Amino acid sequence: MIRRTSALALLITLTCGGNAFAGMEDPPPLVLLGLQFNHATIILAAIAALAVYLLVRLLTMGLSRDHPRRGQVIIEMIVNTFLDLTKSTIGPNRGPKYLPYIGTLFLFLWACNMLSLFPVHNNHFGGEPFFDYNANGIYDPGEPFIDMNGDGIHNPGFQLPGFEEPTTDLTLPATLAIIFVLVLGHGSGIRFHGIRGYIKEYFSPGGIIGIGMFPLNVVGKIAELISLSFRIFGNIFGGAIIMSVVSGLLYYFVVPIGMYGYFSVFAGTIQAFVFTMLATTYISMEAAEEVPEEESI
Amino acid sequence: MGIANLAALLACGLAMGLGALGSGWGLGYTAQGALRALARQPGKQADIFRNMLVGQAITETPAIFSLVVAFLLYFSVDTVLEAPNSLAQCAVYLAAGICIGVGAIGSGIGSGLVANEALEGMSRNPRQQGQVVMLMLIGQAWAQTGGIFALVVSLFLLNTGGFSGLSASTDWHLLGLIPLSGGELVGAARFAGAGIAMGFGAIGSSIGIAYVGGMACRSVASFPDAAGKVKTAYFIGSATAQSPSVFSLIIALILLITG
Repeated sequence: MIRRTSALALLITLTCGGNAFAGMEDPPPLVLLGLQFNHATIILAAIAALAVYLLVRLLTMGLSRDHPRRGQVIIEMIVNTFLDLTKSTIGPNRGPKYLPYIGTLFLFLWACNMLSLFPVHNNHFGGEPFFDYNANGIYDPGEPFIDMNGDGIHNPGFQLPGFEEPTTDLTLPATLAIIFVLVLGHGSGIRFHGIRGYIKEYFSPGGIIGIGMFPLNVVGKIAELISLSFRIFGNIFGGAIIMSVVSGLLYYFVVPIGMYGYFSVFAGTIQAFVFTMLATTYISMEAAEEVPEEESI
Repeated sequence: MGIANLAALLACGLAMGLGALGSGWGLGYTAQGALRALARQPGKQADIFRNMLVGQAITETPAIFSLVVAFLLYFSVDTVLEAPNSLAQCAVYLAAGICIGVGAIGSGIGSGLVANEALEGMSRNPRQQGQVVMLMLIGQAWAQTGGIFALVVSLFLLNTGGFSGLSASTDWHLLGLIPLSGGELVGAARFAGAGIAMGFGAIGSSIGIAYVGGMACRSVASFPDAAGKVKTAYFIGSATAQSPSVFSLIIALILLITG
């Protein structure tokens, strides 16, 4: 009871404290080694990963064979679904080895898509207030902050992002697609077929036609990555736009529960599953077991 | 307010109007399959209903892509444009709208075709339901690849910059004479060509792949013993049917990157 109350209080504090520093501009993205890092996506993805870990730990507490609890039944259902998926697409022997990756991918993407259900605003911590007056109190649009440190650099502080789906940032699905298709899938292809067999697949029909098909096969592999990552990004981003527009039309007075139920819960779950299943299919194209030919009677 | 705003609004309408066409068709086609399946297997009402909803949720994807681009175009109205009276900027907006609008038609119809055939297969052999659902999701996802390429090219077009070098020297209006420089005309044609190449190139592949995917669902449901061979032929066949839209993507990207 105490735990629930404190969690609720934390949620309310985060929600109501949202507009305390409204008007501050967003901090610029972190730049490291010439690459831009969107800190909101990183934090939200970490929150989703932590949520998955805690949820699964909670549901798997006190496993028992004779008297399974509700959490155990749910987890067993999820595990069985993905065990069947990997066994039927990759193969009965190799499939279960890929189960931890595939199951984690689905749970993580699902948690990412469910984050928008929590009403938390953007929060600013620290930093300097953002005024159009300079240190002498004179309006100066050229110097839009009070320099408290005296170092001449505007310190925007730190922004804790509101809960939006991190999948609305293309970098997250693109990273996952690269990890699962390029690293896991093609890595397994090299492991099972050898580097020579792996390259041979790019000349797939063989012979003179194979040489002509080589650029097509290479582009086809790149197109897999593009379509996989843009699919979930476009869907979740579109759903987020629709919900924000409808909320704006309702003057943020009524929560469009039906829209959230469809676009966030239903479509979010389905898109997470489609991403997972397509990733499994692409892995299976590289790593599927050779099924012995059955003699037809 | 330059002529580019006009083009953005026009393109917004084109994107959403054309983009809703295919998805609407496909959604209805999915529901038709569900009704036929329900008439054949009245006892499996819950399963058929659930699979119809899943199929429809995915069939809606091209319309959602069109909506994303339409909103991006709408929000770009009244922003400070680099060259508000540039013909090239008008061409970028119109090309982005036409690209996703036309590109979504085939994807929407194709996804509906696959879902329809999958529901047909499920009603003929309810025991193969799990495998048919998997094949349906894969088939629908592949039928939408053309629409996703169109989304990529549209977003690419909307992020294109550097119009200042392409703008006409004096500003011009609808009714006045249009002073054009050669470079601007070429730039405008380049952007419009990229949008048209990807938009129209996506239609055929998406519908063609849907025929392959739909028949794979039905064959696996009717003849489960042949599932392995059907799947192999299905994967190769759809990869080949995908290649025309890949050609379109390559040409569109070449048009956008070079020049």
